[in-house]
Amino acid sequence: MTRRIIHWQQAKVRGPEVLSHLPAIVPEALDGATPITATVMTLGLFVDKPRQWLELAHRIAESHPARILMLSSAPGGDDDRLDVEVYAAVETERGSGRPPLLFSECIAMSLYGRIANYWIDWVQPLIRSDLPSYLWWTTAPPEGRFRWDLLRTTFQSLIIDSASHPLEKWQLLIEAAEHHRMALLDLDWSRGLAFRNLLAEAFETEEARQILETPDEVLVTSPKTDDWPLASSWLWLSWRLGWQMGLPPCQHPSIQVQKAEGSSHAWRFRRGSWSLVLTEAPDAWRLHLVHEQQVTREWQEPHAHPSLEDDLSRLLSEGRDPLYQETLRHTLLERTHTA
Amino acid sequence: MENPLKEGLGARRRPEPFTFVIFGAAGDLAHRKLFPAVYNLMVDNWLAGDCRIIGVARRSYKDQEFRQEVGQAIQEHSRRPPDKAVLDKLLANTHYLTQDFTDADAYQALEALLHDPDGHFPQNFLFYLATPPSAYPIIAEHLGRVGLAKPQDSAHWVRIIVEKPFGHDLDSAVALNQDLHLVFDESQIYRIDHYLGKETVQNILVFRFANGIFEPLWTRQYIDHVQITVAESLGVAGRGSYYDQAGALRDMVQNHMLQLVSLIAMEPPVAFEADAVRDEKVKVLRSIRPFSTRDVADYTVRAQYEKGSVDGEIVPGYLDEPDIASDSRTDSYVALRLLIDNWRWAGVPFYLRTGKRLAKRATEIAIQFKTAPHRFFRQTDTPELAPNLLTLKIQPDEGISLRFGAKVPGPEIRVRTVNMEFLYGTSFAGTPPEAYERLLLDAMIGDSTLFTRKDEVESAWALVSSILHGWQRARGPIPTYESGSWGPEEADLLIQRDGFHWRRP
Repeated sequence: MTRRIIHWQQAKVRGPEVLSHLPAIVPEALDGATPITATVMTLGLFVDKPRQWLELAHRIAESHPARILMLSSAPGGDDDRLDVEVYAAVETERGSGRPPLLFSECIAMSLYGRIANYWIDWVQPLIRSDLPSYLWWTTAPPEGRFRWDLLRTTFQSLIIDSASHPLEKWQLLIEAAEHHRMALLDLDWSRGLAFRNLLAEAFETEEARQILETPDEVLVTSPKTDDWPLASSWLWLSWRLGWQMGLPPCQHPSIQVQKAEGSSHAWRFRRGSWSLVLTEAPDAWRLHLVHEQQVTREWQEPHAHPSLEDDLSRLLSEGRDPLYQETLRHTLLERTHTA
Repeated sequence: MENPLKEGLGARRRPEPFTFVIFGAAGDLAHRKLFPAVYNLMVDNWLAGDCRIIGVARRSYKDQEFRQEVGQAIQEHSRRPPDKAVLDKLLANTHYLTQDFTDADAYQALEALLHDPDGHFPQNFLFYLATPPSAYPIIAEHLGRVGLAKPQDSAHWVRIIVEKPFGHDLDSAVALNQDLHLVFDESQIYRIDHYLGKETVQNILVFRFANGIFEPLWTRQYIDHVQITVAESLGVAGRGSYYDQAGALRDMVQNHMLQLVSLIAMEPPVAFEADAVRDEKVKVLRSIRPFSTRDVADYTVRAQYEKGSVDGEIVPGYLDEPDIASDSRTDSYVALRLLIDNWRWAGVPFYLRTGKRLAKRATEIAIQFKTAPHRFFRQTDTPELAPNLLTLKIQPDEGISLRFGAKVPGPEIRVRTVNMEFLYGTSFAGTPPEAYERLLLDAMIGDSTLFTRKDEVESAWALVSSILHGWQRARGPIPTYESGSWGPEEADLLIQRDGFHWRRP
């Protein structure tokens, strides 16, 4: 089978025109042949700079055949306009009598001027009905008033990457998703699976359990000073172990939590002469149980440097994790819930 | 001890560190399937801890030579591109033992090799019998003698994977089960049928039991008949001496096709757990009406292919293939009709056919529904409507299609048959894991759901043996079919007697 990308673009498009142009783009490029559509989801990408994300969108569509709506919104200015580019991936030459297959389509929409504030209106008709729909918020979290009520009728799930901005900055968005019953998926939570698995496994060992239940000290190391790595997984640990401390500055009567700079991410939990040291090495996550500087036990979980595209691909396959929601409800959203 | 960190995490499908011992490691199966499968599992991070491989075979190798060959096999047959770091790690933990399977002393050497002196590898052993079947009981017995068949304590495990063919008939399958049970418990034995590792085969259960709309229709009230086709365009392809002893009935029907029948016909299990699923499958096999001698004559067809043309090439007939006896009566094609005597399926025929050198390679299950009870459109231009047909395509073009009638646009009522189609390859892009990857991983973590249990194997052989006995008594000539066709005329007659015809996949 041959896969071909069909490109179409038009500046200053009027809203309904996009919908009427779409069905004709592929047949016009293929001498009238109408394709079968194979897409299994709608994936919205809210982006700052469409060009940077275009390549990624194509790669995502390779593993998750999707209608990708890439939205960039630049409010302000007098020029109200919508520019649209469409990249349709079509499989042709599928055997005699078999129509071409529209494998994925990426619709890049750049909105300028006043209409940029109403981007949800432009997106709504383009969502594929009866299929899962996700919106990946790749930019800074929205602040203040935002029409979440409109968004929730458009997209079923919101995707964030809480490693890109501190978790507390996502709080408004997380609360809105919770309030409007939108599923929330976090790329950084997904990355923390090895962290959670290793600590859960180690907890079965008496010495490790004692360290984790009542550590004297926790030292978190990261290459960036303002970074608190795997923040949502940290909240999970704190909640599950009843530490009752949130994100930094972490206050606890008996556990001292410190932050240090280092070449990679590491967590050291110490209790007396025993320590649990969790490190992210190039080939694996490793957890060492250490007694007086001697490693007495090792657990590991291999990993292979996934790209952002791999992370998203995995997240879309795995779907919503109820444990993430539970963690946020018991930590970040606790006050919202109590209220 | 309560573990608050485990709550909500979900079950981990990661095996503990273990040693994988492959008997027959110099053979084709190990090179084409087993080593690439382990490598792919490592690349995909399913093997968390270390995995040590010990290859055992009669051929003489040094460790280094064996590693080179394993590396080459992985590069040739793996679905994943070469990853040097992973490959190096796998090869560094790969060893070889030259051993005659009948030599008792050699098992002492294996035992010494398995007892890792530095304790890096715990005493978890997965044995794989990729040898000729005659060696299975011998290897099992020797493993028992040197104390390798039982785990050293409850924290460790020992499992054994047995390749097909599992017996030659009912008596030999029962004898093999008895031999294995002298040394291993049933819970340690993993009888592999690679069909069960295929995504599309596993999807049969998901399709039936994760969707609300199909199961209510899945009964004799709505289903007219079922056709299961496993067609190959290849001939015996270098396996002549094995195939001539086996034939299509033993090679395909006894295992793969009866597994498909049981997955299609089984009742919903109480849970997706090994024994719950296998209990229901066994019930189906036990409900299949046994074949009397007359039934064998009436409801089974065996045949051999003749010279013909496949994919534009002239190919020889079965009797002219290398290593095939000139007076062979082995079946390269089988068609049969099964009846399942239970509440759900009473009166619904299941037609099975499989053969070599057929028109194309295709495995599919076609479920034909009964026609609408009232011919509402009989006064129109399209009085005869094709019945609804649900086709589960196992390979190639993996997917599911549903055939139904739709109105042709226009002022008259005309109905045309159309298809709604789901294609695995387009809805789930990316390369799915190979069947052996899934099955090896399951054996490594101790999940036997997709492996066949003793009573399953014996029930399948009981049915197949009754057909074999009937054939032994028949003295007439064996029908033939032209290579590149869809089988003998006798198979068409078998299904036409009931008013149906074979689908063209």
